[in-house]
Amino acid sequence: MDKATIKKQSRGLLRIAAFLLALLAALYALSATVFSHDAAQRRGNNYVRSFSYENEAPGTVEVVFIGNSDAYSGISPAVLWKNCGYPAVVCGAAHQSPLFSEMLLKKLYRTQSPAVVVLEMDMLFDGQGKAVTSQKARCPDGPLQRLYRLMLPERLEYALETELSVIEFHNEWQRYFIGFREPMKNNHGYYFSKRVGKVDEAPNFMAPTEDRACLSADRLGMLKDTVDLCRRHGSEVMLVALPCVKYWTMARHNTVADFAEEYDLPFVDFNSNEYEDLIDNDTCYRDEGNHLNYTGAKRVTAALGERLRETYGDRLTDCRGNEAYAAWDGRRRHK
Amino acid sequence: MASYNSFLFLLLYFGGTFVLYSLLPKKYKYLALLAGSWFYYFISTRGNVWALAVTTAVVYGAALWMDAVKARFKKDKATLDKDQRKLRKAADRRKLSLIFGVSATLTVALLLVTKYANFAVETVNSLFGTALANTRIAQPLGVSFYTLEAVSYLYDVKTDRVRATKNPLKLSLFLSFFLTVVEGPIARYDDLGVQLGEGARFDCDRFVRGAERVLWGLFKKVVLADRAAQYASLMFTDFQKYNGAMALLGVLLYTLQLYSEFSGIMDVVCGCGEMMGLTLPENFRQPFFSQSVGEFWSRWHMTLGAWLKEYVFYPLSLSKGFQKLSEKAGARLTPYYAGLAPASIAMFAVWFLCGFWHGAGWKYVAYGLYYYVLMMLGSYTEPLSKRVCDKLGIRRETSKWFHVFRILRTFALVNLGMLIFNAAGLRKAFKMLAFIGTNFFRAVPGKVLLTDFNLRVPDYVVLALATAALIAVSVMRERGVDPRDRFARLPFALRFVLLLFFTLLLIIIGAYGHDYGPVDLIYANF
Repeated sequence: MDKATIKKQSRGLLRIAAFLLALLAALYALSATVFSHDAAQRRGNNYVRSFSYENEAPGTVEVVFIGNSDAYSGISPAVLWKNCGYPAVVCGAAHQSPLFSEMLLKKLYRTQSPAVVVLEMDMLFDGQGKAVTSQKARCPDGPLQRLYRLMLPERLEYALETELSVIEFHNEWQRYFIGFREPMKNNHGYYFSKRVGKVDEAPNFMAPTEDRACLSADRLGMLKDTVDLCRRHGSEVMLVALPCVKYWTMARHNTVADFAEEYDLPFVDFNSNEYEDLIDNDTCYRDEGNHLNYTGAKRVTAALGERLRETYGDRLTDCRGNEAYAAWDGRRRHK
Repeated sequence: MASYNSFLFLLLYFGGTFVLYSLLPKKYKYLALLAGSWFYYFISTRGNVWALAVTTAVVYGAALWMDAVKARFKKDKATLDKDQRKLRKAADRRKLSLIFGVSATLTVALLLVTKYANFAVETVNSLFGTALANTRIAQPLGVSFYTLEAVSYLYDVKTDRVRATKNPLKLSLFLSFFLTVVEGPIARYDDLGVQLGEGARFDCDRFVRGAERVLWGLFKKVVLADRAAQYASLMFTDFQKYNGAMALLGVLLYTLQLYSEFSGIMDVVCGCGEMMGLTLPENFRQPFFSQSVGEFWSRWHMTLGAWLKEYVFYPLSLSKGFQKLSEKAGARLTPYYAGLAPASIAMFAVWFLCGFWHGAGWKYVAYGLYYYVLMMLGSYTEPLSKRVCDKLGIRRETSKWFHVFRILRTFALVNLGMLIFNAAGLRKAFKMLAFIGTNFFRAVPGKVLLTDFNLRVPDYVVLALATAALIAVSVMRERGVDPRDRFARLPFALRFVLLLFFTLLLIIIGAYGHDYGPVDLIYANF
């Protein structure tokens, strides 16, 4: 290559680098302003609930609940605070996938160091159909499976979404034309609803069976990756299935129970007979057996709080009365 | 599978391969492409690489064997007299045909078994009332594309168009190249294969031009196609809930989706190729400016059309049987029809294969034959329509109105073809067509447009504006103006700002994320 060509190519390379830097700067600037999580919250975007931990002071969260709409409807951190004094957040959004939850936790660990992470299990089956198998659920964990999981297109997509909110909330631009929703209150990720949608006919969805719900190997692998991530950061992990007459089944319970046994994790299923009397089908659901309302959430959170105290009482701190958590006392009520 | 418009593909598969490709010396650049291609294929198929490996091995061995036969003849030529040479030539030709026949049959058999076995089972079951079980063979990624490339390579080696490569890695790269393996374009070895083997040095101007094309392709896919898909996919499933006008809009939007997606992805892969200094064959040339369905197919999926012409139509119509048929027809028919009669038989094979190639289902066969019937109708009535136009005083070559009429007629016929192509079976296609005709103005609340399709008012506005932009660019191209050339003439600072703005716009108004249903690449399934 002659000198002139080298000079031309070098100039071109500099321009390309400048463009990429400008693009990155613009993306970060947009993520910090128009498309920030705060802005999304002000515009009432439900998906911002996933990032509810950002509203808490660094290092203050003791318990993290992570999952899909079942989680943000069924667990109230304010009630948990009132009953047990554990500062907690729910990081969940509609159809939140286990992979997104894993990416979210990775980001959460930069500012928080929760003692316990509670993984809501309906997210595992979201979009997986109702097929069952007689085979015991096993998590394939060879190097190739790990490589396939590492190379899932969604992994990078979610990593970018959690890093650059302009990507996740890009469609907010439409709100300037069709109007904004009601701003969202900071309920530590909980979705407050007093709406009652009673279950007309309760199916016997927890009848004993040896069946297991079919689950892709990737899904179980993602769950295992999340458990490993939490353990690496010193968090205890609990699996929980929240009441859901519509979609939860005994086969799903069995699949999760297999996993919990394999990885030595506590699994609390609020659909099981043990909690038969906890939920009233006439008053505790907001949409005919799919999601809990506030009445249901209060009961489930109280029971879950007890379980947390029993299982991890030595690791969890009752922070009531602690000056650093004064704001929690002020925000106990939802309204 | 990481589709070509995903972050993973663009940043990691392409980005990683590009960096490696740029760093390696020219002689070894193909190894970077090979590593990238194999990695992409292996991960995307989760190790289901056996069919591609077998195809590569068969094609490599057969091509070398054919080359050896020809080389032996060349070597012995001087020692043979004229008669011996003639005999040897005929024997070698038979040998070449046999090697080609066996290897091409093996290659195509792999395609048939992996893609059409279940279709055959279902057809037998429905015809004879049997209950044969479906096979568990998974369709290998890109099998329809690399099989055609493999057959073309074998044929080109047989007919001396290319020399067989001695380097199996280079052949493997040609067949598994990560930019073309999923959706094409269907390339030929003497074009892309040679480029891949040679490699090209990094060039900033070419890189920027390629990147611009990638952005335009992404715009077509993410802003237009994926938005149109939200409406079209639901309409094709549930058209009976709406009215004929909305169903017709569904067909039009499906056409828009398919074109924007397929041509958009072609722009992405060709742009990525350009960034690496490779020129990939073009697949589209403003197809909706076509005046006939024949012209449409010379502008739409051009590499498939070229392949069928080169490797099916010509070999068939130049075969001895067809020559004889042509002579017989010549004795009985006028010269126009005498030429047309044998061609129409070869064309039947072409269009049957074109339809069948697209998918394992009768609707795809019907889709191919639909175009065959249209073309034959056009060709056989050509003298009549010429006479009618002459009588009406329409100057077919110069009249602008007639030109526009023909474009609109072709557009309508293509949309009808798209209806067959996308409907869930032939019966459903006819139902939808009848529904459009009989329920066109049925009362449907206007609000369904905003409640049923994952689309809001701004989405429809973006769809309209982006379609207008697509048409504007197509008009420019049709007039011989390359928008990228125009863009390149702008001052650097302005280009910089415009490109930055366009990239951000793409990210912001793209139809992806929570508010839209996922859209898979249509042609990746073929």
